[in-house]
Amino acid sequence: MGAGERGGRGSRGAETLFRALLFCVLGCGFCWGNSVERKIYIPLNKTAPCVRLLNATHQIGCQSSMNGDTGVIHVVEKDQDLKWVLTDGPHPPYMVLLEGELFTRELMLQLKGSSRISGLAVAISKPSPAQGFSPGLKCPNDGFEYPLCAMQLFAHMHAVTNTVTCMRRSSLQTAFSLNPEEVCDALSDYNVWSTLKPINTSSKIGPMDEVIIVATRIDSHSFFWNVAPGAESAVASFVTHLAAAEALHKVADVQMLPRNIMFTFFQGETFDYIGSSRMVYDMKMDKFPIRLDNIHSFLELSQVALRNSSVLWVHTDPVSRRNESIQPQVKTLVEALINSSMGANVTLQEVDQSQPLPPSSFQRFLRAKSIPGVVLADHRTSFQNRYYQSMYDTAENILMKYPEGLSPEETLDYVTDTAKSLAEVATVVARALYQLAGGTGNTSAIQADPRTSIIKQDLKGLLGDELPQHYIAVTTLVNTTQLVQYVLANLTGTVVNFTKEECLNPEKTPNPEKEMYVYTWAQGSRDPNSTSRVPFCVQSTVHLTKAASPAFELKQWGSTEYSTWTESRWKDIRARIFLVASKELEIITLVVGIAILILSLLATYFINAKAHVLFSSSGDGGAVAY
Amino acid sequence: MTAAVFIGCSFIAFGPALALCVCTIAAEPLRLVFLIAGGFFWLVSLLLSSLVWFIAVQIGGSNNASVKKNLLIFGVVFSVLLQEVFRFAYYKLLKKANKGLMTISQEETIPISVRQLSYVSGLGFGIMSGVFSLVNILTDSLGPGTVGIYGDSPQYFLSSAFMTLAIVLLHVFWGIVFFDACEKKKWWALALVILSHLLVSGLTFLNPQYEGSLVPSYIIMMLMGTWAFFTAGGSLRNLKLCLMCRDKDFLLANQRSR
Repeated sequence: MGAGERGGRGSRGAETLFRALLFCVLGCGFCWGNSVERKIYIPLNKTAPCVRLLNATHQIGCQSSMNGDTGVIHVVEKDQDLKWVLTDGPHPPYMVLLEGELFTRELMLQLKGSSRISGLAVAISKPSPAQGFSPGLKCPNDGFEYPLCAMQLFAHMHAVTNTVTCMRRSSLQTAFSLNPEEVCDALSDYNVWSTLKPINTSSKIGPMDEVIIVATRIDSHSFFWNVAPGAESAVASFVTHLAAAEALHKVADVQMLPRNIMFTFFQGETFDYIGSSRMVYDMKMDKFPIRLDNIHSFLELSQVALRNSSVLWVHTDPVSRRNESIQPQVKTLVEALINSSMGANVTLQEVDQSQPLPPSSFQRFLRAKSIPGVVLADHRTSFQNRYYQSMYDTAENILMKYPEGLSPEETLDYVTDTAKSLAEVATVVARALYQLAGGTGNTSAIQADPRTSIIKQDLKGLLGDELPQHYIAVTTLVNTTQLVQYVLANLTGTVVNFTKEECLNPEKTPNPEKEMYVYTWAQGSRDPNSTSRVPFCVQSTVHLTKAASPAFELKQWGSTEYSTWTESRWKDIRARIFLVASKELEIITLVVGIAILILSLLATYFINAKAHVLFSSSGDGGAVAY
Repeated sequence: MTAAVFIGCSFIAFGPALALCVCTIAAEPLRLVFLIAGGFFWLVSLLLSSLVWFIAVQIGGSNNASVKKNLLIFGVVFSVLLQEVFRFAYYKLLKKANKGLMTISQEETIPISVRQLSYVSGLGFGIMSGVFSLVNILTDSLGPGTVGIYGDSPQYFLSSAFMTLAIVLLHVFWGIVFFDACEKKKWWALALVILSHLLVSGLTFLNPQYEGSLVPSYIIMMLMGTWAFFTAGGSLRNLKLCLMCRDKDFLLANQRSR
């Protein structure tokens, strides 16, 4: 065509314009593609991912590729099904879908390192069918012919290697970047502590004052992120602790006791004792109102819910008992406990004195100073808890059973056997503490009430649909800490007649006692008849103290002395199911497309070359500029 | 369904259009301008018809499935009619523009004939229509999944691409016949074009029975193609000459007779 030479430069500009227009249209097409996307993918809603956690030397957890990992779903119900995945199946890579019972270390070791597996999903085995996937769903052909069901998991973690590396990278980002992209966060939260007799927190207590520390942990962990029901490992213990605190506060002459009692709830104990190590560090650095020398004795409640034939075991530390001044104090402690258990349905027995302590927060205190103390547990040697730090450590694990046919309000009032058993333990602990603190009255009146609304509420909360999870996480003040703080204030505090302004700003009104107390404004419960609530001000001694590992304060990220656990950051965690077509079909589509393109190019060139002949017999003669 | 399907479907749907652009349009700046303007006219018609459909849906309420389907049918019919109206408007505009181009051009002959304009405008309409039909589907074909988990046909991407190919070519043929009919005042031809456009759009309501929509659409495309060929000045004799490579003899013969 002769026109080509004439429009040389202009055509190039026009071509770029055309290309730009096409690109813009295509680009806009990428913004919204919803209705077709809804035909293709089913997003999975109720999922719990496995994330990456790092400490000073290693990393644990899971990771996916940047753009997710895809695999053909294969349900593994027995061990023989694994053979299909590992060797026989014709369409690798596979996404293994496991029943909960098969999720064991042996199976995982078999799958490790195989390149035919792109991921794993565990369906929690409950009486109710698993959420989000049932094999009877729209996956056709029984997994033998295309199109096959596949799943894609997105869980790309930003942190790698260990805490030292990721904290170094994060600090470089915050120091030099205008838009810092941190890659990991330290696990931290708050400890809750409260004293029986109020103390002035802005100054230290006298060197002669003695304090008995009662401690429990309030957190747990499992393989999956934010799934940590921890019924036996944490919840039962701190609920017992709360009941004992309430029982003690009801006694008339507690304010006259010679020794003070400090009820401490440690957060983060699952990860190398974050809370207790921080408290010991603060005590050593004089940042805490109480010093290590003020501690008279230590009582810890470990797992107490599964007592075998009502026996509660008393564990002591053999190393500190070798000290001649510690040994008699430990004996006094144990005797006080045994005396308190008379009349209650609890049998206290001491374990062999040469057996070391079970894992407990007490050990952190012993590292700093030898203190007489005991740890109470429901096991003598190996745990009774078959689901320690697992997603199955739920209400069923501590044998909490409500009879059939109760409405939610009735379950609030019903007292389960578990509640009664925990109340007995709380009674023993409260009486023993009263004796140890120097109380001389009759202890038989001290009784922990199993009907205490907190026991009911909290244990019932475990049964509800939204289980409260007790993972420490990296956001501050998780639900568990707040729950413990407010419940403790409710049970051990007194209602005072302050207005909302005075309650929320106590430093404005002159009152010498205000330094000793913490004021909380409560909404009040709702009357069954009316819709309004009557709020009130609660005066209590409940304080929060930071539970972050001292390693991060001292910037010793590779510390072997303190906990260095961090959690990686991520952008997007989700899963979706869809069908995949065979590779042959895809290649056929591509080949057909290329063939059509080549064919049309040839045909157009041919027609264009012969256009002056092909289209010449028109009615209007004359020059037609082709 | 990954990059292979994306590229394959794009080539199936836009291969001929790309070939036509590369061979006939790209070298001529004037044709390119009219192509893009034609695409713009189609876009405006789509905008207006979708506005009308949107308002109708808001008024009609969106609970009942059959009500929604009826509103969709109404929307499609209205959109087809509006596209043809805009094709007519473009024809009128091009006639006026040609007069203007004549006065400022230094050459004596008109730079671009009505026949070329009809072809170019049809191609512009077709490309824009194809892009808007398929781009949504193409972006989702890039992902790892294919349609089917809710029971839809797994041939969704392929059949959408073939339908778009038919629509692009049909717009070219409709453009040629339409402009010729407007020039020679053949109103029956105009009505036939509009009717066939309505028929092809209506056939898509038969999806996902793709045999019911694709096969008749391709038949209509072949018929329209032959009609456009004859309208544009083709004849069986010319075709035979070209295919048997006797076109050079024909040209020589023509020259001698002058």
